[in-house]
Amino acid sequence: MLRDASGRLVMTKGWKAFFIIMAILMISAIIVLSVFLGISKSQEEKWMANSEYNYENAYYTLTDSLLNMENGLSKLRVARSESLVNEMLIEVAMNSQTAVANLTTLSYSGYDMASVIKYCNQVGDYCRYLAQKVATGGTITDEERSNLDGLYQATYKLSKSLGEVKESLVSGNKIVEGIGKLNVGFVNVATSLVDGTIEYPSLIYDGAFSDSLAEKEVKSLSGEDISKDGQEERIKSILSGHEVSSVEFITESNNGFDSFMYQVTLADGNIASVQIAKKGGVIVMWDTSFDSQEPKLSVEEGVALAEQYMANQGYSDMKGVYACVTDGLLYVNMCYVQNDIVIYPDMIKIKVSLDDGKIVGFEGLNYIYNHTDRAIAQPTVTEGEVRNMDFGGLNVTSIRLALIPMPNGSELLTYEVFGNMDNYNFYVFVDAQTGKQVRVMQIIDSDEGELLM
Amino acid sequence: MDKKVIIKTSVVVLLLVVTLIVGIVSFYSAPPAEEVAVLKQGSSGSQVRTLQTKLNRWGYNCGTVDGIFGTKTLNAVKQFQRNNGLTVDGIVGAKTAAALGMTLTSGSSSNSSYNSSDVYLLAKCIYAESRGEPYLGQVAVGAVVLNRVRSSSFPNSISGVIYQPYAFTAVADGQINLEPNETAYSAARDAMNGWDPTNGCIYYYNPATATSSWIWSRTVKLRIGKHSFAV
Repeated sequence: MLRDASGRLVMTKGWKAFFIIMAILMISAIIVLSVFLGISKSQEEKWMANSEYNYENAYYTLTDSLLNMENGLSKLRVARSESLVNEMLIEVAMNSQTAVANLTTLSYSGYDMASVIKYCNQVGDYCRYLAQKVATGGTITDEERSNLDGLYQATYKLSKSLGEVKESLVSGNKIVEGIGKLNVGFVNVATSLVDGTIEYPSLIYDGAFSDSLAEKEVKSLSGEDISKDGQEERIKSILSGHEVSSVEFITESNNGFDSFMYQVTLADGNIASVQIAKKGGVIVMWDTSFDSQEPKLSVEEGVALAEQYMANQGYSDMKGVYACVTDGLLYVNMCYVQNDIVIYPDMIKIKVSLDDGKIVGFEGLNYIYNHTDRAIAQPTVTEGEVRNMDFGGLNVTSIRLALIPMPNGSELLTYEVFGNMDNYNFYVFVDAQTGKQVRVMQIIDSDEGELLM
Repeated sequence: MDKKVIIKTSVVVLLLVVTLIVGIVSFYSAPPAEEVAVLKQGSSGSQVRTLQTKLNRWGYNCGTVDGIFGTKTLNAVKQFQRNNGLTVDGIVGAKTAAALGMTLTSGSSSNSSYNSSDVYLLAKCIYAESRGEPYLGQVAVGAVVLNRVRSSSFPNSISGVIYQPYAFTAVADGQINLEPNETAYSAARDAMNGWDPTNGCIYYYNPATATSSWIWSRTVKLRIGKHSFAV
């Protein structure tokens, strides 16, 4: 730039052009920037709005389903006809499932809604249990009626407390801005069942979510307590077939029963983890991370190796009942067999590498909890009678006696009827005393698993 | 001041502005880069790691398993293709992958060989939450998810439990979208088959990073790696 005679700066033509170009570029840059910021802002708003709709949909569906539960439970106070009672119980159960799904969407920390989810799950499970009872000719007792009444009162209060959230939504608040922070409504709903604002009867019944199932009893552990140190030889014998390089104690678990966990480095560089019970040093489980290899052994050979391993470890009368292969690994379900009856609760799972035949995992929690000497009553229904029963289009291939675990923790002697239909394998369990079908199971990946006889 | 300098400066500024604009436009409009279902020299990631592990195990030396498809991996792949009657191009496409017993997944779809979407979801959760933990710790994380499915206080499906808002940090921060490795799959399958080192725990947390004061009130039953498992 130049200065004139009086010292002022004078812009040459070239500089003028430069500043004009610069200005145009800057302006166009700002325009482009703001257009894109505007687009992204409006996109964000669209996403926020969509999220909000999902939340509000969840909220209103939850409100509806709680109201339906409340109505059903209320009507059950006067309904006495069996078919009506059954219908209402099922309606409450179905609505409780809808409530659970939507409560999940409205969780704001992962734990907060736990008590409400538990409540809805229990109400649904309890009503399903009662519906089944009524359907099979049972009657609802006075105690059960009083429980249903208690559940009605609690659902009514819960439903009312949830309704308070609506006022906040109507006044323009958004759930997407923070469920927990939004208003006290949700917090009240989440805490009312924990802090005693809403009370409901404790439910003890024959179902999976019964309050009586909290503590399981360990039936099979016996023997002297072992020390966590000096277990190298025990661990080497458990990992027979693997060469052990070093054993390191890592942790102690006191969930259900005391156990010790060890990390074992194998000679081939793999790591195995072994858990043994403090009582008697019984194997709880062990596992290795195993990369898939090309299978060289058949399923039969793998199962034979698993049975051999069980026998070597001192388990008698354990038999492979089901096997499935994934990625060169064979998972075998082994069950205790007593007088030719398959005892499903006493199950141990074994993982076998079909490449080299090594045992690469063991899972024995169920066996530890359930295994015991049982007095099993003789079946009153015969196998021949079961064979003549109607199983729809099922092509029955085998029938055997099996003791199965029930949802409430009890055990039931059944005939296990195995067969296939439309390329799917099915298990039907028939009560060996009453001849009634009690459970149907379908194997979903029929090409992967097979029943072992 | 001569014209040349002005023109040069203008060009530089112009280039800067254009770059800025192009950058912004592509940031907002370009679709996310898709992982192509082919592994070749220059590829990297967990699938390359799987490839290297398999090749090494089968006696084709591709050096350290580092997840980077370099010259050594290229030579190993070529050798494998030669030995197996495949086109020797050093590119792991569908045929070579099949011969290796691998399924290549592309970022946009989940066409994994594990046809059960539950195993896939569980493996994703395990990988996102606990990769780098001891194997048993990974099985334990899978077991906690399944224990929650069985618990009355949580949703009743695997997807319900994993996608419950704020239940898992890896879901909240997007790590759940990472493609799981073989170890995570294997841990997921073990958990699905009943392996549960925690014996029924429904919570876990890393005491070094846990921010919720509530979680500290749970009874810790055991610790594996960095995680405390609680009921």
